[in-house]
Amino acid sequence: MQTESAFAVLPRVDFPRGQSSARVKPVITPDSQPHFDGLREGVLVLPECSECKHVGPPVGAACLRCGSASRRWRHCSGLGTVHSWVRYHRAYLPEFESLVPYAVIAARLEEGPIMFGRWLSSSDPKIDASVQTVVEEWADGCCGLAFQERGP
Amino acid sequence: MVASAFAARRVDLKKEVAIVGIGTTGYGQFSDRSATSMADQALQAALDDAGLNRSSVDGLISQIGSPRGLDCDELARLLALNVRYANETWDHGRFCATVIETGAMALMNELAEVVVCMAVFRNSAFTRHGTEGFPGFEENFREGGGPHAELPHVGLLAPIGGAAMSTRRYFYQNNVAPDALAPIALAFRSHAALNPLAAKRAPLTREEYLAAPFICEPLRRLDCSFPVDTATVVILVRAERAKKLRQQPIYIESFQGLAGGPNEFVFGQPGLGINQRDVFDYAPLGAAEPVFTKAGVTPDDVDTLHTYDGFAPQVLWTLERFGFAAPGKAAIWIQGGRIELGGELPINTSGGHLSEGHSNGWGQTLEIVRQLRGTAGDRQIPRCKRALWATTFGDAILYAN
Repeated sequence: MQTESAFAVLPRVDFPRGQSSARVKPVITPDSQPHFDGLREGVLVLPECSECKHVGPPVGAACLRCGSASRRWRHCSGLGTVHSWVRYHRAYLPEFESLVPYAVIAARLEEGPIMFGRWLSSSDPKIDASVQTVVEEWADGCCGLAFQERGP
Repeated sequence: MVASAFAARRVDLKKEVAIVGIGTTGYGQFSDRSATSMADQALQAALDDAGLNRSSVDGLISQIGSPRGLDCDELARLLALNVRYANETWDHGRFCATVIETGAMALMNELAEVVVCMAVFRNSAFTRHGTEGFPGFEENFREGGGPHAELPHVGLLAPIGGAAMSTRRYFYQNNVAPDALAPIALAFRSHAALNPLAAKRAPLTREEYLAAPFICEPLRRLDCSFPVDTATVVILVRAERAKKLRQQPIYIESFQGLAGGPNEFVFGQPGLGINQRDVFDYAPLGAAEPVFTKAGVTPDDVDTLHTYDGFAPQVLWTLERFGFAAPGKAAIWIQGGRIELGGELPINTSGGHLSEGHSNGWGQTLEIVRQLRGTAGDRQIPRCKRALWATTFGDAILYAN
């Protein structure tokens, strides 16, 4: 797949307490590698279907809407809105114990896909409120998505 | 010619396969017992119920398997079952109806004459679902994400995360009040109070429900099922044999399988956009679901609904998917005692996963048989003729006496 030139460098934060992601690593396959490479560089790239233009999450080898395997990596703005959110009152893994209670949101990005990430702002997420994508980096260099509130 | 022959066969489905025996250990903490002894107890109870001998069994289909339970090869050997058709489903909860449907298809195709459908599992032998020691934890690292939307590196963990995410979005889209799920937990507990096999029978008040802590907002502890140990068996035969056996046959009128695809998410209804699905206005098939049309009935013809309530909001999504409630209106529809015994559509009359214990649907299936036999005791629905198993996942079985 082709990659466009970069723009929109995302804010970056460290995962609290400098923990290793050994037990919680994201699944990186040849299909999703450019997405995670992008996060390391501070940019958000997601697969866009060359046929139907659907922008999807970085999973699978074909468009989730039409099945076409012809895709390119599209640079996304990192801007979106809160689609839904939850707040955990229980830690299912030790890595998250010190964070409880913590919120995770589903953010609807401008380009279309809805992505999960930890909520970094102190106020409660509000559905439809604007959010900024942040790269959250673990001590071992593993990167994931997080979100914070964004002013008007 | 082929099409008309197939249509005739479907119309006759009611005459083809029946449940003739049921057995269970009940639902609780049985950590002092082996899975084999539990399976043997449930099997013998079901054989006795049906009036069949172990040697008559020639089909075996199991759910869950090792390590929480036993695999079908091990079950056949350790229970002295010589079968010519054996099968087993994925180690997840949603396959109860799939097991029974596979049994029905094996009988209809004469692959077996007496099919034992079995679930045996001991959750008490393991850590909490969603933690590292629970079997299947490594499924969190599937290429497309965990089976219930888990994404460990962002803290989205355990089945409840995806269910809570769907619930919040569903509440927002449909202006549902934060306490709207209360009637589900309260109704099912009132049913369990009448069920000696249920694990949670203590009376529950609305105040206690609202005071229960959140596990993953917006879901409270009492919106969640709880794990149990059980072995449960259902025996299926073709109808001509069923009529000669001890019990009143409970016929399968029609069934449909689990749905799948880009818009299906196990703990949410299509269109909610949770777990990388698309957002759209969901138009459920409702009364046009094949389970109704193949049997020539409508949701109004169903006397009792039994459903997979791993989490309470699944009841709402099932009511909408199968046309009992209008899209987005199920939270209003369930108010006022409608889903309780004595109400318009009693749901999960043995207590469901929320109060009988999370049996993966097997407790509900046994309850369907009792209701249609007229042996549900204090929980008996008067003149109960037709019961539906249906779930958020799209699968369904229509049963009738």
